[in-house]
Amino acid sequence: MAKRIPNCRITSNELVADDTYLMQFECVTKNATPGQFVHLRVTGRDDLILRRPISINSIDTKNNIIKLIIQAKGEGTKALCVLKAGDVMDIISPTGRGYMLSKKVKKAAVIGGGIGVAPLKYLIEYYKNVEFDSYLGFRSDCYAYQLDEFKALSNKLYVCTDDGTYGEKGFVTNRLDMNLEKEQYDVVLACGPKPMLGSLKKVIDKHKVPCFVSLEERMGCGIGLCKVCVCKTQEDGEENYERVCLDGPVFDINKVVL
Amino acid sequence: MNLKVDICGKTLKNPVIAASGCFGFGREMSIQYDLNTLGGIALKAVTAQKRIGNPPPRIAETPSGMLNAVGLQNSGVDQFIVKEMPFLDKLDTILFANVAGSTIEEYIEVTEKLQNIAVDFIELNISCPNVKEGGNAFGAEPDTIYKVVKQVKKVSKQPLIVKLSPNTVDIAANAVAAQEAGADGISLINTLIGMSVDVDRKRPILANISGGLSGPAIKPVALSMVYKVAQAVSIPIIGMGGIMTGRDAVEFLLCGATAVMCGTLNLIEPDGIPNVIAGIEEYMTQHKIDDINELIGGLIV
Repeated sequence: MAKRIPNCRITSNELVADDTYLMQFECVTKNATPGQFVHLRVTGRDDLILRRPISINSIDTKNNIIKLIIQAKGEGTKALCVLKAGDVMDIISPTGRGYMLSKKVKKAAVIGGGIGVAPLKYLIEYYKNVEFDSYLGFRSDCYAYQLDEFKALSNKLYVCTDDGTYGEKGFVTNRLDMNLEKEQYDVVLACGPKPMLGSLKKVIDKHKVPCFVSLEERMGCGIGLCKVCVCKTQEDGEENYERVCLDGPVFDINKVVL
Repeated sequence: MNLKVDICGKTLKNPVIAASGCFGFGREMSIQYDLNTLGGIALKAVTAQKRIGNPPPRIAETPSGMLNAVGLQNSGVDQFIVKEMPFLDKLDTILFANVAGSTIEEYIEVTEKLQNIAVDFIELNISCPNVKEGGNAFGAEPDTIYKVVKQVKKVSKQPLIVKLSPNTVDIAANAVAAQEAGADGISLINTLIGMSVDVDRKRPILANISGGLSGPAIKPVALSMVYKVAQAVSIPIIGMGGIMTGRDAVEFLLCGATAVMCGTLNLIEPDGIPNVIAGIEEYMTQHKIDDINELIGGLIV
């Protein structure tokens, strides 16, 4: 259940790729599922009143450490990325509905783009009995992170970059499309930018595989009160806006309008 | 120490009410703390029919504030009664049903449907800046305010609180018009119309282009309007706009508000309102005040 924890101590915050930081902080979180996120106040910046939703990259349950990958992009994330070990953060954790796999799932594909790769690591770590193939896409070599970890955790690892500076040149959704001609997956689990998820939807429609995607939207409370972080959904011909923070961020790809 | 205040013969445990639109129908927040500790809850706005609201993005951060453009997303008054009231009925706090609409007929229809429902107040939302019709269009001029309040008052057994917009020429004149039409109280301010632009993409951040500004950034505007309205009307005033702490709430009480509402605070701190209540108690202890009613309108000028 999402609770405010006002005094989480950062233990490290280090650059892992261009504009990309791995932040670790102390927090007792026993039951966070993959795809859930933490909602951070920007320490030292009271003028930035809103929290920032950042998905969980990994949890060290033995030492009570949560790990996040943060991209220094806007004013808030830039300020979060310069925080140092010993600094304190005010968080709400864990929030949202994550990826929930049934026991029947034996083999799955995870597909992520850019900063959307981050929650897939916790997903693979969490479902230890599932065999995962990982499909990771980055703009360029300099933005890729945690490839060694993904290599160790995955059955097979496919990396694509837009400019061909690492792995295969092109979009990772094309690689999945080609592999689905021969590979069988019980489910595909995705996180990434909207255009990537749009391409993924076409691939999924073609190959008819169950697929769940984690969405991102500008967010307010993070706990379902304010209805600002909505995504359009379609069910039985009826259109609605559902809350990314509480009804998601993970949705069935066939339900959301991408 | 007495924190109780009276509005239209109804007693609030304390003067801190959750503001409409920032608290849903209470269910999500009931996981965070006991809702019976609140002075009251202003429920999310309901309309006659279901509304899906505006496309996202619906929120943008601005310096010490935020813009929103939700667009009155709700399931409609019938669904509200069926789905939300069973939960709300069990609460021991004062409920304000926030009524919105596009036409006078819609305001009347929704209010009529709420007559046999256990809500303590009707809060007439004639100040939503994020819908094309109705909303702020009713709340900008004394003439239209008078008309809609007069009509709704005829069908409402519950005391009628009129929520005023700051996007107007003379808010005191609008408050007087509401009072003359039979309003039992005034709540203010709703959000200020604002915009935010992404210069890199040369696009507005909100899909709706403009939205309602709230948060600490608007507190000085809200205080001055509450003070002005308090000089102009004799009915009770519920003040709001950027309250984050107990001391902020006391500012509004001193300016003439009988109670306050906290909105944006809930989006930032899930335990925000209990902290505001504790902050008021702390202020009263420090200043040796036994009864909160001593603070109301107590500004020394």
